[in-house]
Amino acid sequence: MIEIKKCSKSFGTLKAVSKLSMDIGEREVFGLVGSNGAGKSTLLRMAAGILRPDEGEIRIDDISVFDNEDAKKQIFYISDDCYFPANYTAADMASFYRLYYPGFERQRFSKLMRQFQLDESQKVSSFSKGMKKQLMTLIGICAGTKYLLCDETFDGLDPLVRQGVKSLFAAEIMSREFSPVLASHNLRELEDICDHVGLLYKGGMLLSRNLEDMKFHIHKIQCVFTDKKQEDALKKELDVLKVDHQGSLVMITARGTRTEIMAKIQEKNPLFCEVLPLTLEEIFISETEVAGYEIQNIFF
Amino acid sequence: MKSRIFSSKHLKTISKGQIWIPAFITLGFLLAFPVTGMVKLSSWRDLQYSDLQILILYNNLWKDGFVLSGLIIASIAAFINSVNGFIYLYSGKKTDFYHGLPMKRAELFLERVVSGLVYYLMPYIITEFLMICIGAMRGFFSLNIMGMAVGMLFLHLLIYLVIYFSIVLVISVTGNMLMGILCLGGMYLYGIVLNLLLVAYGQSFWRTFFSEYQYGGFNTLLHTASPGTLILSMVSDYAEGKTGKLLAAVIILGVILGVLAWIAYKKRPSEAAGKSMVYTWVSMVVRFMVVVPGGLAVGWIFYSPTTGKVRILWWIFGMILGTVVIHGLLETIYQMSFQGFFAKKIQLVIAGVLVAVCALFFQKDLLHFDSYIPKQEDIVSVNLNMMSFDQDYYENVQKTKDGDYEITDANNWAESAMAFIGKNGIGDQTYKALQDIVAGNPKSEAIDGDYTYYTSIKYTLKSGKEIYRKYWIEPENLSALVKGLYEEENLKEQKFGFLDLDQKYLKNIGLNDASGKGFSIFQNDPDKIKQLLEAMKKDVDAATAEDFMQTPEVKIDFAYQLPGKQDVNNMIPGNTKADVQYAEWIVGIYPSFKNTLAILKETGYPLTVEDLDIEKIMLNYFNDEDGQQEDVTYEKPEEIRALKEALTVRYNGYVDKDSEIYQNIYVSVFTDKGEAVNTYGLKKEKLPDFVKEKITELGIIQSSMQVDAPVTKEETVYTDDEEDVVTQAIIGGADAPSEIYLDSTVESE
Repeated sequence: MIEIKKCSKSFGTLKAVSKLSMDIGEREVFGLVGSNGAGKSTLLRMAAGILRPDEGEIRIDDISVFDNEDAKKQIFYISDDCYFPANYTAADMASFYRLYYPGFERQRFSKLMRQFQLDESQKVSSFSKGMKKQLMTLIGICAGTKYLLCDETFDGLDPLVRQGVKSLFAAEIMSREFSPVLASHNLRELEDICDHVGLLYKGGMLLSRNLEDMKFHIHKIQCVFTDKKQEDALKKELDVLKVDHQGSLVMITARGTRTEIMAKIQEKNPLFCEVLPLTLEEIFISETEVAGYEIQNIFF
Repeated sequence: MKSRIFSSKHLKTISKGQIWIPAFITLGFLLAFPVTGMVKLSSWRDLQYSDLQILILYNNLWKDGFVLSGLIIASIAAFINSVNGFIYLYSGKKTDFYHGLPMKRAELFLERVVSGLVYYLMPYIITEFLMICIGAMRGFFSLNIMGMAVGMLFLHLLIYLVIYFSIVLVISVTGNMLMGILCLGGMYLYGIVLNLLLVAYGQSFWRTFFSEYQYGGFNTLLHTASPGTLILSMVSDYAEGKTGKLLAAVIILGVILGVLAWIAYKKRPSEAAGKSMVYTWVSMVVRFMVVVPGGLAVGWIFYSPTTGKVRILWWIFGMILGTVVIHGLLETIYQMSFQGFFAKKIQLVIAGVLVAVCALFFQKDLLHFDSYIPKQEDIVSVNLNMMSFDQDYYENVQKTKDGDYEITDANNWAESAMAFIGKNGIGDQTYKALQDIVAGNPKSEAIDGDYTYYTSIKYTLKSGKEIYRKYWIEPENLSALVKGLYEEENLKEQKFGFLDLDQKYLKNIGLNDASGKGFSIFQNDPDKIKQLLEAMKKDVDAATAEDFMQTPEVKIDFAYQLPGKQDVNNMIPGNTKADVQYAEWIVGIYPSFKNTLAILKETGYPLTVEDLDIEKIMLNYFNDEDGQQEDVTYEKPEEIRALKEALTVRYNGYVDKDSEIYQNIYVSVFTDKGEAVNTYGLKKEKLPDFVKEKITELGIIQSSMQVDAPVTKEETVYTDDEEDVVTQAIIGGADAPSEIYLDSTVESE
């Protein structure tokens, strides 16, 4: 488990991460979402042992990560803008990382490269941005580390490759102890892969929840009532996050399981009723509005 | 982990794409060792050096030539390796890449250092071995050469590490290329530039400041305050076979730089890439180190070309301008924005105050630099540059353990061999004269006519400290000082020390007669030479300080050839007698040297002005007031007789009593052999009437100051070499003098 305890990091006068605490569990895909400048990359760089927190501590499997070889062996960090030494081929990159990650699976790397139709002998400098991201992801998977920290990894990947990478992650989680941490500002990218999502805003953690749990406990209800009193009564009984009206159609976003919500609606005998699941984006918009943040300040 | 770093597989993998570095270094060392060696060996053969000479030169190559050429390549290798290994710190992307690897910072540091060392050492060892083989094939191989090769390897490795760690340190404390270049330049040039600045201020504000010899703090700044100059000083000493202290200093510097580089690297935050300076406190220290001298330097630029009282105002203006501009520029570089030009105003004010304090130290002489004289009991010895007032020339000869001689000549007046030292330190009379000189030194820029002579003095203290000063000296003080040196110190032993040398080394004796012309005397007459040397020794031993203050009758030049090692810097190709060295003494024969003069009279040469057969005397009258001058030639016997009465040869400055010699007449004496070489003057009290009349006619007023600088040294050059001297006919005695004088120069300053 990655434990982040009251971590802060400033760059000059800019507070990038502020007293942030969170845990990243094992064998789950953790999505770290937030707007640009929210502190995602800083948090990942601290978790990778690159940056030293000004305050607090980050521990990997109960070992402090900064300047600690044992802890860092459990992590592979893929930055948003990766560096590749001059004249290195993909094979050279693999050989290089093999020196530092004893569990690096060289044969598997070659196999995956073929599957992703990448040429090992080609110089990385001639790769496209997406190909470089694929290469680093494959190296990260083959490194055999327990945690894979990916900063905007899916940015630049075509849908097919993205799907392939997601499948690869799923397969890895099934086969060994593997916990990818994916940082992105694109919620839709993470929605169908993440088990757990943390929302960063201005260096702080707005919320951190299991995605299924989140979806299971929040719903959108579209219904039509014959009487306004029924609507008001329902709103009092439900944990309402948001209410919108479109003519006689009432749209309520409320916390609770589908069964609980349906039971309470049926009691009010509506003319029409439909309970819809929320997208990740809608959940965050609702939650952040409840938290008092203006949506337009967070997402755009 | 260590085994992983040191494994060949690890090194091979991380060296991917870096092979150009060892290849480039190999090329450099090939040029530095085998190519240089072959070129040298070939040229020595072509120049027809003997086998022994080539062996000496080849051995020296391992201490000198290869050390210098190897130093250049080692420096380049250190630069390439350090930049290649650590320049990634300037890039955030690269820093994330390397610092994200599962490796401790310390190990990453070690990995970079080790790989760089391998890139450096492999080419070095291969090419050095190749050079040893080339030398061996030409017949030059010995354990001594192997030892020197190993010693050179360690010396270059030390140099490599010092330069390498200095660059790593600079990269580790700076965040971008511009600051890196500036800081590296600062590290290597700061001491030299600061030294130049302090010397400029010393020369401008301290009248006794002596800049020709760097000593104390000035010497430290110039030679040891930068890794580059310290290394060069060490290499220079290594070539002379005396590396002790400087080698230790370079080793200590290497360790300090290595530790500092390691700490700075280890503590450097990864996010520092792109910033100007990584550590705030370092940037503040650098700021004051640059702004304060910078303000002083700009002030001096305005002070130097101006004159009069207004120059102080220009100086102040320059200091203010320099402080503000340099502070602003530095802050602009720090912030990478011109908006920072007027930032950090408090630090600007502090820097301004520091500049003002430093300026006051010079302008008001708060250190009492000019009035300082060490305590008498602290002084071990005094060295005095006598070249400006003493025409004698002497050398110090010391016999070494291996039977050779070490020679130090009067030109190297500040050498310890030339020191004046009494039996119990410096005597009272000498010290009193020195005190009078210090107290009498002019207090302003204007020098009036009483200050005739200008000289430099070195005090050596019991603590080992050396202090240099230069002084304007009044004739009375100069006479007192020289008298003290004769009476209480070892000036007599210094000048006449050659009399203790074995006569077999004496190759020629030259006599400068009263006209100043030179002749070789007593050639092939060892008995006569022995008589002369014994007589002279007797006279010197009996002479008092007062005797040496008289004007010498004549001057004698003693030329010696002493055993010595072949000097590799002055080796004559094919010369089988190259293991000799030359020493020369030109000393006066004073009126009290009766025994010596009696033997010299046997040569038949004119020893006094009276003895000269003068045909004419030309007087050049000059008027200081209007610059007019007139030449008058006197040829009548009565005129010449009258002038002879007043005529005197001007030798050493300290016996040149200005009050006794009329200053506004230059005298040229012509004999049957042409114009006399000596410098002459006319005694005031014996001026003939016709001269006085001419002075009155021309309206000349006796100047209070000697217009030209005093006569420094008359050097007679005997161009006939040893063989010629031997084969010439015997000169002197009853025979008519055979003149072999060929050239004479009179230096004036």
